Amino acid sequence: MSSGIRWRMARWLGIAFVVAILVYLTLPAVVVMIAAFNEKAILSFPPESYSVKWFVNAVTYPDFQKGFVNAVIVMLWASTIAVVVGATFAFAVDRFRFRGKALLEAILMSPLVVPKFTIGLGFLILAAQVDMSRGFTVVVVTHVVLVLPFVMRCVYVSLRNLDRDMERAAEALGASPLMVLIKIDLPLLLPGLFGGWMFAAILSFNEFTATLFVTGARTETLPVAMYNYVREFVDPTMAAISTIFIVLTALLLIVADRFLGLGKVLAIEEGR
Amino acid sequence: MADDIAVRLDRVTKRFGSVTAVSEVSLQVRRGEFLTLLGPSGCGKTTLLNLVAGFLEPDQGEVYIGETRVTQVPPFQRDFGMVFQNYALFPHMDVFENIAFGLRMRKVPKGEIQSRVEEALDIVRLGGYGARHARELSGGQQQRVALARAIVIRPQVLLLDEPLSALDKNLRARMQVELKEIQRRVGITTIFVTHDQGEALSLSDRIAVISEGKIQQLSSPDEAYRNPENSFVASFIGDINRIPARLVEVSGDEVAIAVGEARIRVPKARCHASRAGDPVWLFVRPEVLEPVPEDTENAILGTIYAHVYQGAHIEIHVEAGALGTIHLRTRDDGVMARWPVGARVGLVGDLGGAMVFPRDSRD
Repeated sequence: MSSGIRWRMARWLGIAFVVAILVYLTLPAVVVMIAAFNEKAILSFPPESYSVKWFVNAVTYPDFQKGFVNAVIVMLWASTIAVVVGATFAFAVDRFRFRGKALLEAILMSPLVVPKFTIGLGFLILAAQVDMSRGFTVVVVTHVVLVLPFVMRCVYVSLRNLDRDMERAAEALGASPLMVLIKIDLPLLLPGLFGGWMFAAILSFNEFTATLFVTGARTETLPVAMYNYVREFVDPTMAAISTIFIVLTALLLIVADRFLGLGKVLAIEEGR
Repeated sequence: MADDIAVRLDRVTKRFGSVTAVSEVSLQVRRGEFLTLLGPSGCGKTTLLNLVAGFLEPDQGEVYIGETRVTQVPPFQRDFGMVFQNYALFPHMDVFENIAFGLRMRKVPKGEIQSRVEEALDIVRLGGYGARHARELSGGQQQRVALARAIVIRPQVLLLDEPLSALDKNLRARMQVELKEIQRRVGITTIFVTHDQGEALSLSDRIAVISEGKIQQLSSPDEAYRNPENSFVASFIGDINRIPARLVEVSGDEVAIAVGEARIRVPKARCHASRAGDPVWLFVRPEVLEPVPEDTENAILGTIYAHVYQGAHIEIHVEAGALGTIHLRTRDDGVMARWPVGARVGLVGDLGGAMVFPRDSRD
């Protein structure tokens, strides 16, 4: 009997521990989401009265509107380019042995090591040299470099999980290398490619540090616009826009999970 | 070149770094025959198959499929079908599309694809399974889809890379029969790779026994079983006892061999050693030997060590000192009572079918 009680206590302790971790992980987001509904013009918690006016303010604020559009433009370009470039490199690294392969891998992974601050500054200097500092190009290029390691990782894992006998079977049936790529490799790698693209999109959309250096008034993305806002005002608009951010990202993940399975997309499970 | 040869390897060598996987192998596969490449893992049999398929290119030698020299031709331009060990069915296509893939790559007209895929499904007795997904099928069914996919393109040769090894024992026996039956019905030249000598014996028209990158023997299953050309083939095919002995005397059409204390006579034609005094291996099938009282003249002496009841037969393990463990096999249930474990026993038998091969004194 006493061992039964002990067992039950251990079980409850375990559950309590898991709940504590979950609360810890979600606490900042939850606090912000609640603070967004504060009626007063201060960022306080918990609010005394509630309102949605800060959401209205966030959505109608012109800088945020422009920032959102800019961020989407940069995100679409950067993640798409990163997937194409990253997939090509991942394929080369997986399939071929060539001189300087290790060096290439190291360089492609270097954005994980070099501070984003440095990358932003570097591209700012370069862009000024070639007189591109006011355009979208430099922002997109910076984002591609930043998200490339993540995309490569994603694609590389799905490549590793790809059964090479599939390719051989197709070749045995008369498929040329190009047909093998189109009919076998691409469809089988699609979840990995899509996962990489989504990873890149979310990272790009959220990127702030390096982006701060390379954007101008015309190309300012949403995170930069939010930063500029906080420097002038401290009201729950910030919390409201953050909430919108979280909801959008969550929706994207849910859609991805519905269509492809999140495990597959993030290349957690084996492909087969 | 003779047009009854479907595949020809001409002094083919393949090295991986410092390892020679295949060494100057020549082999002719006759049209319509079922030829098995049999050997232990790492013997080079899979390398040989990949050389025929073109997944590997030989360092030396030539490969022909039919009349065409294909040594440098990439796999997708060669005319063969292949079944892989894990079937390698395309997971993003249904059964129909899997089988149709080779036809689509060959730009076969749509209507013909439909009828040929259905015909192939009928051949492997999976009619009506076209819309199924590969993962909804059992192992045996996936196996048959892989086979249909390989034969629907009507290739000159069908390559099978241990296709039965992923199946459980009962299913494997059934698929063996079915595979042989389909092969005979379609009349397709087949090269089959396996490490399972039982599979090789029951399926093949001819067996190439392979070891250390070389063909040790190329013959019918019956020949390989009865007349192995060397001690490797003798020990690899069928259950057999390998007993150390010494060649004593060559006289007329018989040779005398000393096995422990016993003197045994073997037909000279069955002996591959020549000089009296040479150390040799005596190869005897377990079903040939029978237990007799230990004072029987020229019996090999030992102690009963274990009875292993196998249903249809009983296997008796005899501990024979320096000669090692000798197995005998009998259908007579009474043997277990007459020769209990621990009893001293003599072994004799009709050694007309026994084999004698030279033995390195190191062995």
